Amino acid sequence: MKIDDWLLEILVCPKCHSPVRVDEEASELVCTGADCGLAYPVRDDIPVMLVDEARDPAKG
Amino acid sequence: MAEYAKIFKAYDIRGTVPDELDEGVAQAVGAAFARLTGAPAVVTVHDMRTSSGPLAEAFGLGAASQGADVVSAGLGSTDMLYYASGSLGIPGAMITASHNPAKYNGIKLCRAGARPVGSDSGLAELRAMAETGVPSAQGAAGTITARDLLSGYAAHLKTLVDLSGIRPLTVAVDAGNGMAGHTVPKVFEGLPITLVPLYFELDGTFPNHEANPIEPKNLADLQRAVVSSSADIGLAFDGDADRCFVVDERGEIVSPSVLTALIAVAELAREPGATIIHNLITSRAVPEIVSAHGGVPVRTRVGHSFIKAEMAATGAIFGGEHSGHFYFRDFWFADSGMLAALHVLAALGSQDGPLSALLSAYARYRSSGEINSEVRDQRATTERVRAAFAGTDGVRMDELDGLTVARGDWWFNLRPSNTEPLLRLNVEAPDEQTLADVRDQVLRIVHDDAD
Repeated sequence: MKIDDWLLEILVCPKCHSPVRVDEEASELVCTGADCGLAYPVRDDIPVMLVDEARDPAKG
Repeated sequence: MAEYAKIFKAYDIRGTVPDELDEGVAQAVGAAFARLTGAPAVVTVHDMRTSSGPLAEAFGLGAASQGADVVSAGLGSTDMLYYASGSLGIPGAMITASHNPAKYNGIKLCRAGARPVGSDSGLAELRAMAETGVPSAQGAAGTITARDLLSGYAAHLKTLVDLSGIRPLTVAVDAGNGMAGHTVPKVFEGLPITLVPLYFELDGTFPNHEANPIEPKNLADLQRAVVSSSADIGLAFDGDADRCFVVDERGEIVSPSVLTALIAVAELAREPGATIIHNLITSRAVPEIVSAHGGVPVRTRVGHSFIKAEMAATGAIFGGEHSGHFYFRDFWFADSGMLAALHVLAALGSQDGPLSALLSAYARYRSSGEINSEVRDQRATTERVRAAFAGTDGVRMDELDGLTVARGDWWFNLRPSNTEPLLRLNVEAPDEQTLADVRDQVLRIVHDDAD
């Protein structure tokens, strides 16, 4: 994934505002918030930071 | 049969002469205008294009046939029409196609008091009537009188700006063969100005360069002239002289946002606490400076009808746009590049420093200028951009006009064009690196056509 560093630095989970970490293999940005953990898709190197589009790993 | 659909635009009438716009059409429009406004008199002004005189005359004949008297003011700039309409209290028409190529012409209309006419404020009815044929009027035809309004216009502008104590200035002016060549000498009369004129010969074929100073390439001659003549300032006007752009004594182009801030400060000194209008593409520096000087900044969508509407609603004293349009409450809420220029000359001439130093306090941020990208689906692309920035820490978004995303001290706006499949991007940031980062990231998303 090629997301600009400066953008990665400022991206947060729109739901809980916790920082996100990069998951290269899954092409996702995963929320690091303890009670959240939503995984946002990255399509063609463009992050899609919409809660509706996120995957909730807790629900499988 | 003329194709009215093609020449009636959102805010004016424009087309190629004579196939789309000819004297017959002008006459029909004049007649319809007189009938619809019901005014006892109308005023006509025209620019230097070869077709303008005949079109103005035809328009006047049409209006007179409906019983309206016609004040035929002859050659003038578009803001001269606003002066005429405002001071005489009658509706009017300006025959011009601004900076468009020679084969074009057009008609800009206004109601009494220079009030605007647009597609939802009369233009649509006008088109319908002109198209179906204007009913003949009962009663006598109106009389057509020629009147020279240039002196009155020049004198009036100078009552709105205090130029009494200014020091002698050398001012280079590029009229681009447009109407400023006619109006500038009169306006500058009696002022301690040494004029360095470029392309003052009126010529609607624009033999030197396009009379459109928003394009930096059209300012190159002025920039050279300012430096070679050691001028204190350079001014460039567009074809119908309603827009004015400025070059400083170093030959550097001054952004319209900086001019907006300068004029705002001058107006606030005249009227403390006043409201100042700016659009959402204008630099953040403008609302900051307005607030710092005790004024009330109000932000609008892009477009003169929005600026004017907001000015009327708030009684704002002044409004400025990034495109080089400057609107003044005391000039009937109309825009005048010449009045803006006089404000800048007054500010420059009332102190001893060079223009670049005077403006340095107002030029705070770096701007990308307007970057246009052709896209297949304006909405979908804008959505992708919004989705990418939705999860940005501390981000603020609004959709007043397209999408605006702001964070800390940078912002960008992405707006669709109404007429072409384009998205227009404007970015502003405190430094070049941030500007480049934001701009490149947004463009990367905009150009991604992976579907």
